[in-house]
Amino acid sequence: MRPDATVVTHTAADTHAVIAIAGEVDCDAAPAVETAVAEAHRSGVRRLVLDLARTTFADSSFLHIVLTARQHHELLVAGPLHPAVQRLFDVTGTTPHLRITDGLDEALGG
Amino acid sequence: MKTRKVPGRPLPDVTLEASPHPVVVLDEAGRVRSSNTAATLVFPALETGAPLADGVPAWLAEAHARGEGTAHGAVGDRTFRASRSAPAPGGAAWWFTDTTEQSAAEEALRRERGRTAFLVEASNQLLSSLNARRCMDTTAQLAAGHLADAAVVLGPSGRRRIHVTRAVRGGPATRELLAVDPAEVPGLADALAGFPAVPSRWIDASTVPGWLVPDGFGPVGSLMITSLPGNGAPPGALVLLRREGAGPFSEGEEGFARVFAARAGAAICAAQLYAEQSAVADLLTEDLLPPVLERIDGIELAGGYRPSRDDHRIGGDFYDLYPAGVPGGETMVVLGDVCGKGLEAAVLTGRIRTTLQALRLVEPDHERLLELLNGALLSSRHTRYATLVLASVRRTGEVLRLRLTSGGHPAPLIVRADGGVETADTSGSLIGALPEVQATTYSTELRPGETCLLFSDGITEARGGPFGRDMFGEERLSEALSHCAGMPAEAVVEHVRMLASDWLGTGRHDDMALLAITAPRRPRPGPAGGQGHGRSTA
Amino acid sequence: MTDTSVSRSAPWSDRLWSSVLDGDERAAVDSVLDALDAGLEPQSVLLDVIAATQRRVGEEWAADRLTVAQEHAATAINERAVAALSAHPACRPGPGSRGRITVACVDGEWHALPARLLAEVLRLDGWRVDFLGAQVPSAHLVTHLHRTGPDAVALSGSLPTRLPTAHAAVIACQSASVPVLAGGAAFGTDGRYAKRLRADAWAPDARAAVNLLAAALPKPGPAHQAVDALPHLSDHEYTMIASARSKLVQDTMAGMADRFPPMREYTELQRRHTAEDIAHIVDHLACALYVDDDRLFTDFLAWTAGILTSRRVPAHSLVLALETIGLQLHDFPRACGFVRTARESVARTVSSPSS
Repeated sequence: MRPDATVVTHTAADTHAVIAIAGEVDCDAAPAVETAVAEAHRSGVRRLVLDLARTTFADSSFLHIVLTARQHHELLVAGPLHPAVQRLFDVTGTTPHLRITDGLDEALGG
Repeated sequence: MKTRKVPGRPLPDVTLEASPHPVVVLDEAGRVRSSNTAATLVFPALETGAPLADGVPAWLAEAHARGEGTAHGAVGDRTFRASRSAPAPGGAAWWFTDTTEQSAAEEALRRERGRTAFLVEASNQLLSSLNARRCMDTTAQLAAGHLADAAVVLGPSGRRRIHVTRAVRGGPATRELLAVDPAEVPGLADALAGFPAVPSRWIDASTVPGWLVPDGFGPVGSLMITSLPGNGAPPGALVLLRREGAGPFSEGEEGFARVFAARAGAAICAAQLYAEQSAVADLLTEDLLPPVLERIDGIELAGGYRPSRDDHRIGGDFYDLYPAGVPGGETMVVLGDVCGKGLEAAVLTGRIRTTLQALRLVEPDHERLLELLNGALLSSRHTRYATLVLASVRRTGEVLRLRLTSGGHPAPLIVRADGGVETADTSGSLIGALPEVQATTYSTELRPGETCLLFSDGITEARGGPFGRDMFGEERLSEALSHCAGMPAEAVVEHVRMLASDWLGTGRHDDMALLAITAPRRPRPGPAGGQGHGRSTA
Repeated sequence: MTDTSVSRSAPWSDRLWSSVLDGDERAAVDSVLDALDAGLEPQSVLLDVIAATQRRVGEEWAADRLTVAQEHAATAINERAVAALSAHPACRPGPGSRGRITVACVDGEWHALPARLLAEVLRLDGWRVDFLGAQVPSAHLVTHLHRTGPDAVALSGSLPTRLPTAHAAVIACQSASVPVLAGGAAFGTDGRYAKRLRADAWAPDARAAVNLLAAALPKPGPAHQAVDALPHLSDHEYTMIASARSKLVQDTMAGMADRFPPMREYTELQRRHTAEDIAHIVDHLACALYVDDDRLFTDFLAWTAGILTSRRVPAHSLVLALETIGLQLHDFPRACGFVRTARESVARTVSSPSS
């Protein structure tokens, strides 16, 4: 039985929401991420940071959430990205369309 | 009055007389010594001094003669239970209890239980099928088995014809579509419209038309009609038939038949609703099922599709084939993966396939084609997207010329004649969610026996293996392919499917799609092939 | 199969066999169509020529004279031969007035050819057949049954490890009041597992299946739950061992390496193959527990020993594997018993090799 990804949200300031995801995000775990994104949306923050430093795998269900979030927020993806996640973005050609930083601080600082 | 029980002392007759229960006392020879008034009321023929058998029904006399201690039977229209005691100095006394009401109650209970059991059984059988025809057959058979000698289920009356399902007890159900008029049977038209039917006793069985009666049934003694109620319009009516001599339907029986009809009607309705829903789904998905791939224009193609178990027949993966518009032209195949599942994904898949089918005739360049497709799919309402691979193939001599372009999808693998496996050098953006897309096309040739394999990530991301959680991965896929040099396209697909399937074991999986393009190993001389080519086209 | 049909079909199946070995699809198709033109009955071409060739393919693989890849290539050619045959005018199916049958492979079963052959002979015998192919999930099968209301389902399975899934399919069909005829190697050479899983009928081969259905349609059994047919499931040995499969494999690998140090020097490839072999053993043990029949497990081990021997791999590694697996299962009396019986049986064959 695979452990679900754990999703933790916290707000760094009135303007940021940070959603940190640890583990593997597949179609089972995706709803939890989706809920977190929806809450961030409702809270009205301008910038949404997805902290993927501890995300070990992600598939198209996650990508869909990312693309949707991107439409509604200023979205940053904080790395460093696990090879599997990097590959997801690279193969689908979404890398150039995402702001990916090397770490969380960078994502918050900008 | 309290009586001390002293064995051997006969009770005084006055006690006997006061008892409301019939008592008959006999001497050793079986002759009546005395009886109380209650007994003479029940057995008027009893005579003191005469043998028991002269004044009581045979069942009691025989029980007495056999030396039994209890007996029961009817006296006139009442039933009694009798028990014997043996007062000293000898002889016997028979005591009677009127069990008529109790028997009737027991009989009613038994009947009720039987009916309940029948309804439970009927419900089980009716609910197990969502096939309307099967439900009607079951209804007719159940009714013929338990409620009457034969049963007829009439489907909703169409404009001119009506489905008639008949069953005789113990036999199968048969169905016909007949052009008949329900008005020929009193009350039938009403029942079909959902109105209460006329009571059975009002229907003259001799006027029943022949089409209602099963072949060889014989004359109808009585019949009963009830509606099969449903949601809104009733799905039909039920007619029960009894042969002559079987007795009419009682009110209780009619009531019970209506209870049964209610269940049957509900089941038939559910089945019809299901049929409608799935007919719609079928219509939508028929077009969306992956096409059966065969040989076309000297190109071997084979596909394998295994939808995720969790859901519907249609999932997010798809592949399609667009034959060359002109002889010697390019055949295009596409394999793709739409995010999401179910009808939602299916609708997007449909749009992609029809758009590609139309656009590719006017735009041969893959990158431009994907740009056009992207534009067609972009929506402000959602970010649903697809990843896909386009492959344009043309045969030149014994070689296949391929142009491969990935739109955000894993690049195809190519296995060469020497068993070496390479990854096609193509990449691109996913389609339908980004404002701009780009892609690079990889051109290559397949010599005889070489295969290009398109696949979805359901294959490479399949989890399983001996340790249960490892992904199948591209490395394993490449290794599998390296053994497939020279194999026909179907064998390549089969081999990969087998390995992926074994890898998964019984684990859950995403949709898995494969498409192999192979240059035939022994190219045929041409369309003049003649006998032995079955369905394949040259 | 009568002696005459064997002798009549033998030359054709030899011809088909050579074409299949050569990978020559055209010659293969020609040989079956020529057989038809020479007067062989379509059913005989399907069952005595093509099926016979397919059996031979399996035997040659077991004897290590064909690789897995070649086996698939051969199967593909046989399937083409079936397709060519069914397109021939002499094999036009009847009006389908006998009734309607659905033919499907259990989910996870990718050997579709036996089911395909059955579908064809049923069509020739006058049935209307819906052939659903390989790997049919039970839910899809049931949807199809509700939509089409067939008179019976022919369920095909070659891999005994699919028996629990097959059981789910049987139960699903019976809940839809459609009787199930089970066939294929998964159900045992005498159909014992078909009976255990309460399939409504079983046939040892396609010919028997056709005759059985022609004589009388089976009646669907009452809807039941798995534990009704297999009360021993309530001891949970099956569910626990199936869910602990990965750990079992891992611990067995480690345990074997402890007792057989050369394993520590194995290459990555060798380790992987060993892990896969152990996983197969565990899977078969789980299935044997599911049907509560140690013969399923012992037969598999005997077959594996044969395969290893034909590849000149020492079969005593199986004994070591079984001993190590047995050590992990001390809490499971039935499983322990099965492992012990199998180990003794393999040890006997290893110490006195018969061939």
